[in-house]
Amino acid sequence: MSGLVLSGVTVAVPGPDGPRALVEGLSLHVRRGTVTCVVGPNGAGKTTLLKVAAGLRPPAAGTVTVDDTPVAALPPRRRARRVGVLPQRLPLSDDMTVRAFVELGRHPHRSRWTGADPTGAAAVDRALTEAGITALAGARIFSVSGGEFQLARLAQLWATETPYWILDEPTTALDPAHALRIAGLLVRAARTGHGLLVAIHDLEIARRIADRVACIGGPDAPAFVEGPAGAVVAPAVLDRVYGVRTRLWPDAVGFELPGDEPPPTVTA
Amino acid sequence: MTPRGGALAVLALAAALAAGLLAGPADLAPGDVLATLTAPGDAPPLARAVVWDLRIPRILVAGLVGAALSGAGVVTQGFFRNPMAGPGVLGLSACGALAATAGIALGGDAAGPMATPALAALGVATGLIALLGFARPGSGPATLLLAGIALSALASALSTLVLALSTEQWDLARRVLAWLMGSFESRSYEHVLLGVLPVALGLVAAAGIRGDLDVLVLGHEPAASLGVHPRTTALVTVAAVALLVGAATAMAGVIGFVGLIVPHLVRLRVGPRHGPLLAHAVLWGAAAMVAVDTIARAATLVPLPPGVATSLAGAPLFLWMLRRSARGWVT
Repeated sequence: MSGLVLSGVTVAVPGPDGPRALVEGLSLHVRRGTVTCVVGPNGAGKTTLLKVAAGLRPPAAGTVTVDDTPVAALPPRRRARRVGVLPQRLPLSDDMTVRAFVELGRHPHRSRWTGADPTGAAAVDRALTEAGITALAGARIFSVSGGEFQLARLAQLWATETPYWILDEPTTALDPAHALRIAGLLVRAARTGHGLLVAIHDLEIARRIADRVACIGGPDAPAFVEGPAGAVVAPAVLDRVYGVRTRLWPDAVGFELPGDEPPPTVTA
Repeated sequence: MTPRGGALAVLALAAALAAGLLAGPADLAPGDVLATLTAPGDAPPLARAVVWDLRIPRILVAGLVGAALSGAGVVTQGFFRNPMAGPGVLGLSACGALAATAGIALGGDAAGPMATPALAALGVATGLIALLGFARPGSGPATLLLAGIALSALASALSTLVLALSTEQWDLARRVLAWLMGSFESRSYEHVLLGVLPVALGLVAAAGIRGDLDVLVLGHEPAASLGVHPRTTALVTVAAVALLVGAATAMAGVIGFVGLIVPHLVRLRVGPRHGPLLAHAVLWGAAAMVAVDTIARAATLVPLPPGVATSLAGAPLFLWMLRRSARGWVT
């Protein structure tokens, strides 16, 4: 089965009485050309689930495969050429140009001894263009704004030329314009054949960009709800999981995603 | 390496080596030195001895030590993502010295010429592994540096203990003390040969992980997602640093600050890519060490031990760096 596939994955964290399962038996199928969003309250285990999906930590139970290969069986560099990750936080320890920052995404393609990467420059150019930050290429990464930094991080991910992307809260702490710009880029990435798994708090964006949504956490944890975006980002699910009252306004003001058609009519 | 920056580094090293050859307490005119170099057979025996048996091995040892410590500093600063994480600050030189002095005191250096560098490397590796245990990557710069201070204090105290226990035997105590101060006195080709192989191996190992060190700027877990193997990178870091600092310590004792300041200053000029950084730091480190040693033995009233000289020059620079980095320190 091609795609990034989670089968019966259980995610657990250490607790006072031994491991505590956050999600139990979750199955997801991230196909190329689609977006799958993971939503849920803070502490529900979204970040841990994404690390498991990226092969950065083993699941408590279940398997993760990338195009039929268990992700745990892939050597790190080969894994990094299949699955790209945009972590929630990036504790950058040194300044450099935006271009040099984006070039770091080429690491898995670069020869260890000679440093050769024949297609690297073209990939970086393309990534800068896709993220719309070609003009920023020469700027210092420490001097750009939070929104520009996020675009640079997305360009770095684009430069990895990985078919599958795992993104942890790519729109958090951004103003609406930058958040929508990032959301539009994610839609574009999916249209150009990437398969995306995105943890996100912004339910409006999740509903708009996702093909499928997994909602984890809440009083039913480690149980979860997984299904088409319209069925999961709905009052029946959200009220229970977040412990709030949700309303969907059919005639609400909606931002347009860059390059996207007008927002679909809400049916709730 | 940019061609012009590289040429400048090579030029600086050449100038330092030339100064090291020409300067010294022996009263030799530059012309005599040159004549001795080009035609050693025709030179007076004293000039020949001074140039070929004293100065050349001495500047070669100094150059190797500077290159090794700077190379090690590039690796530790990159791996720990911390501009202050030089091998001296982290207590690694002190660990190497402790292992070597203990070896000397117990007569281990009689086992063979490679015994002391091997012991020093072992001491450095042990110290670095202990440091990795206490200050895991990502635990923040303060934890790492404080662990380094503790390690340094422990190793220095134990070295002093070895010294105290060996004062009964005056010759032994003098040898141990010369170690702890750091010295290029009466270094011979034997010392050069001793250091060349581990320094070369250490630099090759460092070059092998230069790309991984580049990516570690993003943090250890983001780097892992880009294909950096955490354990392999840590192991190669330990091996490279142990070989480099072990060899440097075995050749000259404890030399402080070179491994911290040279890579840091080079980074300001060359940027954060570890390939060019390593090449420049090795050249500039060698040049700086030869220059400091030349000044210490030619331009001062009392011959300064090079370890003292580097600390005299390095400590104020370190404080300046601290002030500078306190502003933009991202953890």
